Amino acid sequence: MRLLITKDLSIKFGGLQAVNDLHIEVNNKEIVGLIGPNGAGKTTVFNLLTGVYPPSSGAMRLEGTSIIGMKPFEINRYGIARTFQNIRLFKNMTVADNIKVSMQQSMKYHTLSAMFRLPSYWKEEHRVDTEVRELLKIFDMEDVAEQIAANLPYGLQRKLEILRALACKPKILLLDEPAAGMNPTETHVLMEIIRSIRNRFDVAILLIEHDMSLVMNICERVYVLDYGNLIAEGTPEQVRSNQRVITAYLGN
Amino acid sequence: MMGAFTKKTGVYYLVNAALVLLLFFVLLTFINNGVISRTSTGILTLVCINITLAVSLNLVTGILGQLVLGHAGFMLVGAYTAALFTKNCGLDLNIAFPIGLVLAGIAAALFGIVIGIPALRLRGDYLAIITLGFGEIIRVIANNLKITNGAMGLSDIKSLSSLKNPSPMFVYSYAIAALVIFIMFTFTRSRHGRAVIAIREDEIAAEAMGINTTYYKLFAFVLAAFIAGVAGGVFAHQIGIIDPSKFDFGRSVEILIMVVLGGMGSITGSIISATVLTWLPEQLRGFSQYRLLVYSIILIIVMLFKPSGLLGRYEISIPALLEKLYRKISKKPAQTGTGGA
Amino acid sequence: MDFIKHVINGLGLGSIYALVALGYTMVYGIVKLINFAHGDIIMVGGYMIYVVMVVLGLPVWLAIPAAIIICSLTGMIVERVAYRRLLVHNAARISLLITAMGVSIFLQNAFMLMFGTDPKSMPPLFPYGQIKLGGLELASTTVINIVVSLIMMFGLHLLVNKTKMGKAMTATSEDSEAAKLMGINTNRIISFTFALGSGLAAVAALLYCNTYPQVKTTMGNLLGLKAFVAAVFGGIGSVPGAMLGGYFLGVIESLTKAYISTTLTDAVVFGILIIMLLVKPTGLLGRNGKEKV
Repeated sequence: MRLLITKDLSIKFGGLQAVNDLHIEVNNKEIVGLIGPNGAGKTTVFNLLTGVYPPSSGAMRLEGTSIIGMKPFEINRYGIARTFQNIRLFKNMTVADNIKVSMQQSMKYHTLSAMFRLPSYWKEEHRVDTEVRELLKIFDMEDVAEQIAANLPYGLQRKLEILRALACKPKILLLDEPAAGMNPTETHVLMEIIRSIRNRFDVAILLIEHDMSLVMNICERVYVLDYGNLIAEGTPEQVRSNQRVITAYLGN
Repeated sequence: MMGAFTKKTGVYYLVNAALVLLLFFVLLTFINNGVISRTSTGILTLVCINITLAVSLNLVTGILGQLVLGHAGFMLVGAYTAALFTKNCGLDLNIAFPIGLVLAGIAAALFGIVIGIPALRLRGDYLAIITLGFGEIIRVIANNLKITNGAMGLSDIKSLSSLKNPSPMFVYSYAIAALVIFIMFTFTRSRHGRAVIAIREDEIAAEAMGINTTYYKLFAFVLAAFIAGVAGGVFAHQIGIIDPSKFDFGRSVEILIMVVLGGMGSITGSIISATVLTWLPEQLRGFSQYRLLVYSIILIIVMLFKPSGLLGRYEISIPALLEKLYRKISKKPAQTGTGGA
Repeated sequence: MDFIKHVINGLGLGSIYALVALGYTMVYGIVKLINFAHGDIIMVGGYMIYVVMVVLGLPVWLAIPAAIIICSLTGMIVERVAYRRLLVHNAARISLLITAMGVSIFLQNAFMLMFGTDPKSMPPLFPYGQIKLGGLELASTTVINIVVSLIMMFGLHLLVNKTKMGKAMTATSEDSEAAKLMGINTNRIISFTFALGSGLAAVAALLYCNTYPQVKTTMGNLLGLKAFVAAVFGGIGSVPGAMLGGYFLGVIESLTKAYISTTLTDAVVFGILIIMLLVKPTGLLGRNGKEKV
């Protein structure tokens, strides 16, 4: 089933057409890659999908509902969560609290219950505590739960960012260069994590990545962007042999 | 983990509550017996009022990370609202005073909403300048309105305390300060508080994780305005005479420096620095001319060399200290006598 | 006729705001800091003119360069001592704001200790007269204000667009990291920007003393605040916006005084800031500066 569709999606910055008439589709539980040379407009697509920039024209639908004009937090609650190219954790909060921020929407207690520590506060905090611990356990991070996020090694920070997005319980997860700065071993582990996330949490994944081994290995379909235009789409094999893609990456 | 209710958190709560009550009854007894003079009682009341103000400002400046330069403006609104109400409502002061305080908070909160909405929808430093403007303009308005009696201000605002019964103003201010501290503590350790802290850490990421940033920024700011309004109401009835110059920019700076010095984000830090900075100037009257000059130098030096303030975001926990001490004593009883206390 | 006269008087007043707003907007453009101490630089300039003309008894043509030099130096020293460390370490914005506030309080209180709290009255700076323009009678002070501000702005325009320094300033405000890579000494540019803004503030002080013949230590507060409103109104970071905002605010103030209320003009100005932030937060000429994600 189609989960996310964009049609004729475009945005201009001044005179620059950053994204031009973009059509992409992501189906339920699919892992889709979005690739292209530097400056192709990939992150801009993420910013459009998450409501950071309003598109100049075009349509975006999640499960058939238009998400144009929604604010970033509304889109998140509607089912799209993301990570950032340059990690944006809540640096001075603990690992557990970073994740709890994403769960704040699911917690049902009133400000007054919080202020006066009414039973609903304890009940919900306890529930979320357990959930956070389980989530951290799945990803082998339970021992750093009470550490300050800024003190984590780089690889774990990247992982925490993915967990934080996942804790929003999205229908689709947008990963912006999750393997950036990782060595081949770490990248390999990351691949397994991404796969297991999809299988365990029933979530679709759209990812931007420069590491071609990762893209070719785990993506079921790939979109290729160049200067804001979609120049190819298909399975990794189809894209790899596409002449336009080769030209875009290597030049004539 | 922090969130769940354990036996230990329960004990901590009880110890803290017991300490707050103990301190209260000790002070109350001394005041009623005359051990603490009327002047000193006045200073104690001011200490409590300043703690309330500093802790509320810390919510916005330390925990939300937005600079407010017109906290005295909210105090002014609260002070005039409460004073005008108790002067004109015709009710007995014992009933009128608490109602007046609530009205003071509501009036200040309304002003908070009016200036918070335009400033907080935007990212950046607009709140600082807009609250600075508010603090200046509200005085201009109070100076020119008939109901506020212009620059003459309001006089003969009745105090609950009297020669026979010297303690009620202290009781009110202490109870309010204790309640505000409690609420700040519980609020910051809840889902709402985490949302506010996340906004300070990274507004864009917070919004991308589903936090309605405008709502939470506004909530924290308006709550702080409400508390400042209540504190203003108590202040008016404590000193008896108010005029716009009592709530000038210097006063806003005074509250800000309590927050900055104690540690932006540390509630216990605010309590300590508000106490010291209220008590100390009373002892050094001759120094009042240089006070703001010294404050400004302190502000600059603290920002340059320890931008998070003296305590940073650290909270002092007396139960935790007691626990440590208890462990030390029970494990190594021989050393307690020689240890530097 | 009266209406036109009020408008022109407003432009005279707005000339002061415009010059001050330029200082705010240039510093903001380069280091993204609301320099709260900028208003107090005007106060420093005012007292400098007072010292040269009243205490030393020297003529006005000596007071002007003295004020400009002292203000520029003060601006540079403030940046070097109070802001540089924070800017280099990329400190939190709130630390910078608090430091700027501290500098403002420091300057005011230091001058209060030196000169006392009473306002000091100033002698007329220029010969006073009425200038007839068609059916209009204008005070010479108003005309001087407008002419001086226009000359300063033309000079600034040349400096920013035609000189190497000006181009380096533009580059630094666009992207200071890239400017650094291109071999621009951004620290020097920042320092120069503070000096330039403070120099303009000295000229603003001159026009202020020309309009209201007195100086006091708190004169920078409301003036600074209004000039900031002007800068926001025109679009903070935009040089032509600051000029436009300054003139606009002056006219609004003059018309409010004439037709609505003399005591509530400041409240009206503040109301304008609130409405502007609600309706068009980027100001008249400001760019939509979205943070990069």
